[in-house]
Amino acid sequence: MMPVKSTMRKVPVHLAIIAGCVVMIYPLLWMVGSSFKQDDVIFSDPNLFPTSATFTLGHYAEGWAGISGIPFSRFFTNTFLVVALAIAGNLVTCSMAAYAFARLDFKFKSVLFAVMIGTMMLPYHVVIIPQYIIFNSLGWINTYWPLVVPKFLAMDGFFIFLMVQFIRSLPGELDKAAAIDGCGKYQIYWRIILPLALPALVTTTIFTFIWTWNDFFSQLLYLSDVSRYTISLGLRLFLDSTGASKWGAMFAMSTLSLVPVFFIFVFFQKYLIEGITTGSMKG
Amino acid sequence: MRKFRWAFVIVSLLLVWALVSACAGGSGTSTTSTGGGSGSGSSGNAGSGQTTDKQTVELRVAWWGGQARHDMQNSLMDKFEELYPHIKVKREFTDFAGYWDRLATQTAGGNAPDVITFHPTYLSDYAKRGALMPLDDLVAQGKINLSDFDQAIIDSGKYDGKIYMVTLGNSIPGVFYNKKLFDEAGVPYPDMDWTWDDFMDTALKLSEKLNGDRWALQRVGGFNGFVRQRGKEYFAADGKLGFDKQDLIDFFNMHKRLLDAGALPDANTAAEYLHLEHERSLFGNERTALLFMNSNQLPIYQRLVEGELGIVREPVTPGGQTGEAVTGAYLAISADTKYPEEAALLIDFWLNHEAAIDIFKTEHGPLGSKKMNEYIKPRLEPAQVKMIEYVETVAQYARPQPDRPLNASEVEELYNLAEQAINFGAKSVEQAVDDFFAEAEKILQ
Amino acid sequence: MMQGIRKFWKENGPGYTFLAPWFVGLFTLTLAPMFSSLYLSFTNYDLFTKPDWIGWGNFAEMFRDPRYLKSLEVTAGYVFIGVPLQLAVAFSLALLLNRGIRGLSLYRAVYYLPSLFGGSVAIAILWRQVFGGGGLVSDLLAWFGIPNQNWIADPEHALLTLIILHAWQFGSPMVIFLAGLKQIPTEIYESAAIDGAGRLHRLFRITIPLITPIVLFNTIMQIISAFQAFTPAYIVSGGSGGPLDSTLFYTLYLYKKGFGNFQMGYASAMAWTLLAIIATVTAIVFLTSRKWVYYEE
Repeated sequence: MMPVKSTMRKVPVHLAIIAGCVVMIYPLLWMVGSSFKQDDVIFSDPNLFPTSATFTLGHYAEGWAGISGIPFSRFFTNTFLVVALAIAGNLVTCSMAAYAFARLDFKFKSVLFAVMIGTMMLPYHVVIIPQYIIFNSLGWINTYWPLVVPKFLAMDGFFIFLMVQFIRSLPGELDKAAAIDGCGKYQIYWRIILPLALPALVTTTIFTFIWTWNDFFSQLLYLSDVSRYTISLGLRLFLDSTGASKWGAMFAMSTLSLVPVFFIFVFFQKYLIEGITTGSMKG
Repeated sequence: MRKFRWAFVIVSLLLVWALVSACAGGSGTSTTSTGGGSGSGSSGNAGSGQTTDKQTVELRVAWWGGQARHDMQNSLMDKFEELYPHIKVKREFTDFAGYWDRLATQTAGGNAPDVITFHPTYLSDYAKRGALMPLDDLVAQGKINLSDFDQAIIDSGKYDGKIYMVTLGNSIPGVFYNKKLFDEAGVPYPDMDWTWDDFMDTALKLSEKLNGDRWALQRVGGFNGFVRQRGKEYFAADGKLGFDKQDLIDFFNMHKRLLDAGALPDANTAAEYLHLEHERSLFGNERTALLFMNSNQLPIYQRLVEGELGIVREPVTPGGQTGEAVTGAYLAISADTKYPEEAALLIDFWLNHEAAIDIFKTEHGPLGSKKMNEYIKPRLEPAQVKMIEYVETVAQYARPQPDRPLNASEVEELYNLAEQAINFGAKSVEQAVDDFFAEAEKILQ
Repeated sequence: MMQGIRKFWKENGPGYTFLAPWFVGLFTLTLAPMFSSLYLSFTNYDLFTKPDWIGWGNFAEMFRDPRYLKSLEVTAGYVFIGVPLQLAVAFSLALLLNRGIRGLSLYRAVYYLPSLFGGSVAIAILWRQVFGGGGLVSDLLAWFGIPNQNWIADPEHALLTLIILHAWQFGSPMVIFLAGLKQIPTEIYESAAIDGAGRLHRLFRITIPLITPIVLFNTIMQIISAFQAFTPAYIVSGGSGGPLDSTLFYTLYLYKKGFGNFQMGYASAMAWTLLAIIATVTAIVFLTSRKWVYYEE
């Protein structure tokens, strides 16, 4: 009796999930399909995927060749660099700040926490000019420093707040038990809180990766050398205000640039699975 | 945790690799943010016989465009560097929309490029606020040689009586028509000097025959010319609106008549196609037969459509004045530049040197220099030749117009909103015009 | 005095040490630009010339500006409909995908895909293909007899397409919900099952209470970010906020005023007003959270 019942209950659930998947990825499928279609049919073709008549691999070659002698692989490399540094910065400094807010007591804590949340509420378009002026006076224009240094200064309040919420949901007895065992605040941070907050750290990694990968505006303002361009800037170079936009190449490179992001997500999501096991609770 | 360690190793390796390749690549382009400084290795190649030893100068140039233009202008800069080995040109380019955001930020930060590709829309914003260098001296000294430029063309780059930008390619508004669609509808082609009544007739006749998802035209343009034909201006010299409510009402009534007759697309379609690029536009896909547009876009559209395109003036008002004004794409020099002489060298090369024109051709429209136009004509596409001939014919009608006030773009946005409101039936013509005037006057005080 | 400092350091040292990087960032790169933009909101700063003080001028002008008021209306609609919608979808899917279904990792990745697009230029085109005249949605609705319509170019519906876009990109809050769900120790579920608790009971008595810190986080973060939404409106409407300003998000109008019209003083005034609005709404949510959020400390 049991197996039949559970199978029958599972089928509609599976169907619903699959239908949902189609809705999720239809636009993506359209883009991937278009990256294999010839330029002149991309916007007029009602079919999702190219037929043998309209199929072409040319866009991938063309897109990869890049712009003005700078291959697209260069944009990938640049973006990897910025993203890796951003992730490192966020993981270290945001977790430190989060630990302070979530577990330590100090004067002005609630005021500072409110300030931290408050800094996220001002639209960046109005701080970008003063920040640009600061970076210009440091001589950092046309380098990656303006994109990376803020990550090492815990300027992504989102991740601080995220980790605060995660750490707060960890039982306080763990800290107390460790303190009794002679651990100082720093050791508690390193040995207990960080490992248990793994899902939050993984989430931070994933999101920092994706958001930095896709970020556009600050990269536009700070990078003027095309050889330093990141992917999101490089994609825009395929657009042309004189009627010669290379849509196929742009779609091809957009598709390609989704691959590492997707891969990172798939790879890291396993760590979202590892929650607290009985061993660590008791130990 | 072991997998995590692996991930860490991989990321670190990637980081190292990325760092190494970024450094290796980056050393190829100098990054001195304050523009090169003096004497970073003087190249003695300034040509024998020079009395002064020129120091290496790094000049920054910015432009907008797509891949084709980037490649072409990169060769142009390479050619310039060949001729002037002591000048290294640092090229900065991006797409049109991003260009202006970046330029505004760079200028605000005191970091603008030396030579800037420029557009009349922003002239008052930049010139009035002292971001651009007046070029009169350089022109007078012949360092930027405009001697065979039409005076009207030189004047189009002036603000407050001073020259702030020089023409890369000029443009005069006109109306394109697609001969194939006209033939299909059996409507005679427009005359060079057709009137607004002729225009209405033509549009209505076209719409009778063009069926389904095709229309006579997408929107009625040429309001600036319309107003000037009545002896007024869009923006008066005192910075306020230069026309009356009745002028706008008359103009929008024409628009409404065509809308009601089905000569214009429905509001949704019009809104959808308002901001689309050339290759996806209605005219570019032969779904409309007429287009109000600046003349330098003629070759672009001709490359997209099958039918042969012709160009005529914007419709005229019988007994009225001429409405044309010269526009185009220009080059300007930043007020903060440390190398005005070298910047002038580059500009002069770009505008007057045969080697430059060989590469550049008529990228932004007919050239300012009559000599260079003649020089390059034999190697142009038919549409480009047509474009040059149009400007040569019509330039006699062009009259200078007052400087654009600050906030002009905001007012133009209000105009578009008013037109949209009429399209969607959200407002009557009178209501839309009243609201437009109320808001525009507030903005322009 | 040394005693006082030593005491202060003993009590507050660890806290401030861990906060040190944040402090540096705060004082060098955050507060200075923020305060200068606050100052600029009382001036007529135009990006290039020295700003002149005009007091409350910008603020007064704002509330008489019909386009400003429209942008408030549009943004409020986006926030108060889009955020709950997106969170509801994210939470339901997190619950659904938290089970041991076969192919789970793949499904989870697929549901996350839309969020990978971010502000890609491709989104504008894709969204037009879906919601434009003769697009996918129109085709689907034609099956139900609804006539073809151009949703994206229609002032009545354009905002709705952006709300749907927002809900479609629910991957981020979903992942956060999932992480939170995974952090709930399985023993709690096991002992509840042993005590005879059914699935609904487990959902309402265990899962939901324990996930409330995450719900609070997602709610606040989504509210803060939705009020500041810029990219979807910018790319889908081609930077115009149209048709008829129906997608004129607050920050899009701010950007137009600041970068397009060089009225950066006005834009700064808009920014600080927005901050006040967001802060108020967030404070309300925070204050009510004491009633419904459960921390295990």
